[in-house]
Amino acid sequence: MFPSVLPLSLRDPDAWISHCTQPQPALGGQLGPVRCADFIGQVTRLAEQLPTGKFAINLCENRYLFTLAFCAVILKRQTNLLPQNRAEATQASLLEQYADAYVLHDGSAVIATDLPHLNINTLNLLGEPCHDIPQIDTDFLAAIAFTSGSTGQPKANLKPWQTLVESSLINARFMLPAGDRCYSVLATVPAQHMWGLETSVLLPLFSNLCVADARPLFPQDVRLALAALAAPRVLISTPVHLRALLLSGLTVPPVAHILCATAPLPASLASGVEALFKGELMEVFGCSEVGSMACRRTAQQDMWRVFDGLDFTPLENGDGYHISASHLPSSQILSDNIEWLGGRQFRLLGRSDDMIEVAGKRGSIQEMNKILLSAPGVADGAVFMPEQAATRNITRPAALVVAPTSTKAALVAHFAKHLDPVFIPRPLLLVESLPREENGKLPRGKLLAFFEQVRVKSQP
Amino acid sequence: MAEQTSAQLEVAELLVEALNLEDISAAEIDPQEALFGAGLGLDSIDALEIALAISQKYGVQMQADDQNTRSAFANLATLTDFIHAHATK
Repeated sequence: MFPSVLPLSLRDPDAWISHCTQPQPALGGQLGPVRCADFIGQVTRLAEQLPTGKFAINLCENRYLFTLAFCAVILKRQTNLLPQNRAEATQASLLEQYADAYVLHDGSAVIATDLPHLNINTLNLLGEPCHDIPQIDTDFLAAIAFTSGSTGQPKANLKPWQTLVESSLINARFMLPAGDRCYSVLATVPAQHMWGLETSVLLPLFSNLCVADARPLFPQDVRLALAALAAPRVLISTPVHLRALLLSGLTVPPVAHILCATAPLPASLASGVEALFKGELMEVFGCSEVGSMACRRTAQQDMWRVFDGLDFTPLENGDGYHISASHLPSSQILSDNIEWLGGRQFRLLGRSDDMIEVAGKRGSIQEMNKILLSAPGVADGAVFMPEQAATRNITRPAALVVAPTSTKAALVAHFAKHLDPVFIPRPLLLVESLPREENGKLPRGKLLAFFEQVRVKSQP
Repeated sequence: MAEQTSAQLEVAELLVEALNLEDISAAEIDPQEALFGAGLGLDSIDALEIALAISQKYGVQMQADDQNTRSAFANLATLTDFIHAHATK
């Protein structure tokens, strides 16, 4: 029998859970490490002051305030809505879709004034520590994480409390170093994104981590933020941030353990990062629907080890795998092409042709093509992923469009209305026709060759 | 559009190269137009790419916490001024 409740945290009340580096009015500007009991006290006080409602759009930028808000919302039996971006249009569309929702923020986001909202930094959360860790119903819907579906309508991934707790315990076992030492954690990823949520918000509630509230972007910011934390350190990041760090030429404090996800990490970059930080880098394989699923030490191996507790079953049509686990609300289909090697290991042969990833966001090329062809004045066109250039940090979708009566600006505006900005094709080139074969097919090889010709011509 | 200075054109060329903006020519970037949001529509990943290119070419390390950096990213003109105030190579 599974228990009907699970605790909000499994940390010792005296353990350090977070490290505040940015003064926040709600905390009286206090800086430095925070004990779990103080954190729980603040969560309880915040929960008492939250508005009534069913859903809270949690847009807090500061990681500690995000975590406080995340837990207080759950304690008040409300559900956290975690959008992929903080755009005002996103907030408005969520409020339209989820009746009885409000925006919870820390003063750093732009909030449309006509929306119901609460700025945590207008409250005072200081007070007595609380040594009783609250219990949460296992089936309570703690959060809905949105994947920026390329359809324009974000996909809602349901996260009951049991899913979050169980997956965190599994993640801690497979993603963190063994032993009881407390690690200082720095993350370059936002708390609202599933990768940031799992690692920088949930892991510290259930394993021996003390996470910094900052989210540094530039290499110099990362270096200074790391230096302010006690060793041993853990860095949670993405290939984009790690590559920038490596190429910056800066010297950095040692980091014992690095976790990387959201996009494929080349083995050479993994080795470079390990040498730079004098630590071990684990690359994690996952998706917003399931969360983290497998990991590998990319500098040394190309096989992925699937976490215990997750089951991969081949689909009957042979076109992928079902992923299921006792803690997941439903099974999910994995469309990536993998080769099973036995012993819970697999090799990733290729990402699905349709689903692409840009800056940690997944979108469908097929849907982007639908959006393109629905634009006024478009006669023909193709959105596709160009070959990844070795010198580029990030590959974005590109588009070749036949639209004699439209303009590039109008097409970009059309995409912007329906798509997350990272998927807006770059470059978007207007052409007279596409090199289609007689049967109307447009083979990838032909398309790419044509793209190369056109882009050379378009260069100023 | 305001006239570009030669220093601004040089930085514009760096942006086009670093960000794969191959359908825009460097000379087309308005020195006063917003780089992020509406203007050129850049995002935080682009900011990271720009910072990296600038550190490699001019030896300037950008810092998000620094108010100067935030205002530097406003447009091509402010970015060029920032680089020239801090360049070490």
